[in-house]
Amino acid sequence: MVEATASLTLEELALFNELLASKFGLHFPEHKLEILESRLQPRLFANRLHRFMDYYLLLQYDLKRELDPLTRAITNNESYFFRETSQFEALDNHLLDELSQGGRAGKLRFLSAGCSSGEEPYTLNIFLRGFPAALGKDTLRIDGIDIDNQRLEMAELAVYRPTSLRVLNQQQCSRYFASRSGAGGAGFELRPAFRRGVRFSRGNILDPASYPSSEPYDAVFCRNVLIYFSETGLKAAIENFARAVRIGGLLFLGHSESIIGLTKAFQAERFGQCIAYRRKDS
Amino acid sequence: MSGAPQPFETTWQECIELLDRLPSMPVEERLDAIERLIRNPSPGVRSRSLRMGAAAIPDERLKEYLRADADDVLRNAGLEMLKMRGNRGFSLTLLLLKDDDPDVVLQAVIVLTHLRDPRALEPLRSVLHHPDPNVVQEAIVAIGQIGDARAIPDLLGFLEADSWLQMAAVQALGNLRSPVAVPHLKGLLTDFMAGPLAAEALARIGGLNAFKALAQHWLRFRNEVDNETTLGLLAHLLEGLANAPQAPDGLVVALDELLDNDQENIRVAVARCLLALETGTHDAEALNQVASSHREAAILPACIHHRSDLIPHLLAQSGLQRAWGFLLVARFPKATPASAVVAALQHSPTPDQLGPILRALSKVRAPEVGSALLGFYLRLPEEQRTSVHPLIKVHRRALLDRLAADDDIDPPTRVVLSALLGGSSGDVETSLLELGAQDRVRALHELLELEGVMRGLPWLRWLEEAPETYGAVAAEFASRAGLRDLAPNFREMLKQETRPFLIRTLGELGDRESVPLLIELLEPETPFEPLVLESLGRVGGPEARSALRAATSSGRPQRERMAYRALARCATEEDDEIFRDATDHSDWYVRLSCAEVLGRFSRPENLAALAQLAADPVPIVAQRALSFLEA
Ligand SMILES: C[S@@+](CC[C@H](N)C(=O)[O-])C[C@H]1O[C@@H](n2cnc3c(N)ncnc32)[C@H](O)[C@@H]1O
Repeated sequence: MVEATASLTLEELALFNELLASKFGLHFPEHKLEILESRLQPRLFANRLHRFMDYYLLLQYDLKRELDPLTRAITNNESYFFRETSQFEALDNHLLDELSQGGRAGKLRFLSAGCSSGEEPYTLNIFLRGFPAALGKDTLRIDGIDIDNQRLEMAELAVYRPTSLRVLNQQQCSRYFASRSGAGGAGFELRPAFRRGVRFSRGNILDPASYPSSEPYDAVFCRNVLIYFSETGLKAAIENFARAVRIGGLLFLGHSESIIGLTKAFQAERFGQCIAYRRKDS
Repeated sequence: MSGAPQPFETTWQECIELLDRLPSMPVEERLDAIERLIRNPSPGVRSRSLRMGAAAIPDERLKEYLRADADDVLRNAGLEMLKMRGNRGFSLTLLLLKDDDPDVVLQAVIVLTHLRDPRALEPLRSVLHHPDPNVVQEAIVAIGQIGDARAIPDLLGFLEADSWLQMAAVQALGNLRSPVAVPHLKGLLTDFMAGPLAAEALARIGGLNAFKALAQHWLRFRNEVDNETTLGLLAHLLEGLANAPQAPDGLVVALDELLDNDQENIRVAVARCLLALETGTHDAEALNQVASSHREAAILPACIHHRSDLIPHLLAQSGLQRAWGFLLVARFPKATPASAVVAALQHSPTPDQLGPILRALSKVRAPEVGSALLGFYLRLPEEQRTSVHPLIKVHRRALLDRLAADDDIDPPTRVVLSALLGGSSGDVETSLLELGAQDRVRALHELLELEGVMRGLPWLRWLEEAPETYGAVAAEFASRAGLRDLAPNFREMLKQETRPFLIRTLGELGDRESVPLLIELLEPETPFEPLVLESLGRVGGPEARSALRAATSSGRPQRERMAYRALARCATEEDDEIFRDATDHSDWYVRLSCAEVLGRFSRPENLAALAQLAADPVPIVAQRALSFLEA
């Protein structure tokens, strides 16, 4: 007979971790067992299953159908405009100048890996459009990738709830957004000028073939994503970024994330308030 | 004892064999072997040999280990063994406190810290006068860990001592958590070395006076101190108070100024302070800040634990903040305006919010909330509705009224609600039978928990008349209630079409007769293979076991792993050889199954294999094996 509600055992945790690490690089340590449990529970409900093991088995034979909802359930998509702006500010002071000189003439290309609903690449765009060094570029392109299709759709739509704008002041809000009222409550639509040059596609950090372009980027932003990664996932991600960034280009991580000591391809450098990793000549 | 450290040259295999032979060796030889084994790099081997050492090595020999100046490995091993002895080692450790060798005394203090036995407090106090400052420092730390307020006067003396002892004393005072120490620590806040530790100690002690001391210090020196740390400690102190205190003059203004600081950690700490101080200024902004760093919907941030006044605001937000609003409602149901809850229930919940909503609604019993619950329930996706069932009973009265008044509710939902609201079995059955087949199935899915009512229904007839329609729900109920009578029908259905729920249910019913059918599904390859193997494992019996044994050597990794797992579930002693042979399988999950089975059948050869698994590089495998060995 079957129990009505299940709990996730350590063995199941290890199995899910194995699967999540190989598909997405993600890892839930033991102290986050309950978090994974609560994230997966709705998927058990939806498939009318009672045990986590049954859900694991289902993933073995029906991953294709279940991949999207699973992705949505386990990823943390928290993001907002103007998050940790010190890195964007650092770009303004000398960095951008230097980046434009080192790369391909007339072009500046950025990748936002794990872009969620677009807040990060759009913020980058807002900043860049205000910087003199970026203005002279013929091509200013920002690619956003994420594994969560639903988030990407929201990014394309570029209509946000107030929580996404929580650290903006009144003036910034009206400068960058047009307010709209819709069925789901108040919404703020990013003005077209700040959407120009930003593109979104489904991409998995672990799978370089899924990156939108094979031409190297001047800088990669991957912030607040790798904290959820397993050790092997983290190493694979760094390797992929090392290939995606040109020599001399930069990698920006979230403020609590560090790859110091993990790779020879990047060298940490301090710029004002923030640390960035420079792609070394190998 | 071998004296000087020996190079380690025993192979891993030899170690395992040695470990197994230990119990039957002569004493002296056994001790020598243990001394060799504790140098093994494999954590599993080391931990087993330490454990054996803790049990077998005589006190005198152990003392020698602790004195082994030139051999750190041996000394640490001695320490570990003494710790492992737990309270059996207590008296020996106390004796060691009086040893002439300061190093041995030091080790003894460390062991006592680990044992946390309050009987050690008095002996430790006497060590505070030991001539060796390292010993004194360690004793101060130990007293902080196991002492109580009685030890404070001893420690205060060290606040004037040299800086290492001073810092140890500050930390110990923090650990003792006694408010008596607050004025003394306050005096140290401006000290260059001890100041930051004193601030931390105050935060650990907690209470109003500690808060005031730190707040005043911060106000005076806020341009010099590390704001991120100090504000974090201040927030921690405030969150620990039972009531919001009166803020010292100027504090709120100074905090407000930092709410838009460049550094996120400072903004968040300030926001926590302002919320916990209940100043009411900038609440919305502060909540946004806290929401940006605290990501779990199911855990209420400590800074708003008492803020029942925020309920209406939070409920009107989205995402995390609305979830917190509901958590506050659950804490303060009486302080909750029912209208705010009703309005918040108009939105479809995110999966994160569902838990907090359920908690809140089990506490708020106002009739208007009960009737809003109906709308909320109706908007939920069908598969989530069962999670609301417990609330339906709580709000029974209001729901009955709504049900009577509301004509828009569709028939299957009406049947479900009436049943959940206590309709008699007869009525429920009749109304279920009046529904059309599709509607009936919908209702049945939601009513499976009413086992009494469900058992009386004509499942067999339904399955015979319309297996396609009733198969899934009947299978779910059969699994739940152990209805084996339905197994033949499920078998018939499985012969027609391979459906996962049938495979699963036959396994759960332990239906031996379905074994040939399941085995047939394995050849040719089926995508449902893992499920089939799992079900074979649940059913068990000679035929299933033999198929599973064959699958363990199929050469296909995924099949092998699931086959081992399934076989582990139903294995008998006849199967343990397969698992003994697989202890060095490349798949950790196979090795985990090995640990499971070998632990179940404790013959000597299995124990040797388990010992090997106890040294497995994958922690869950090693732990499982160790737990069996220890048992
Ligand atoms: C917490 S959000 C961070 C968003 C944004 N970078 C920021 O800092 O605000 C993390 C995002 O990473 C995405 N993600 C996680 N694993 C990923 C992977 N392997 N490849 C691409 N995106 C991934 C998640 O779907 C989620 O949207």
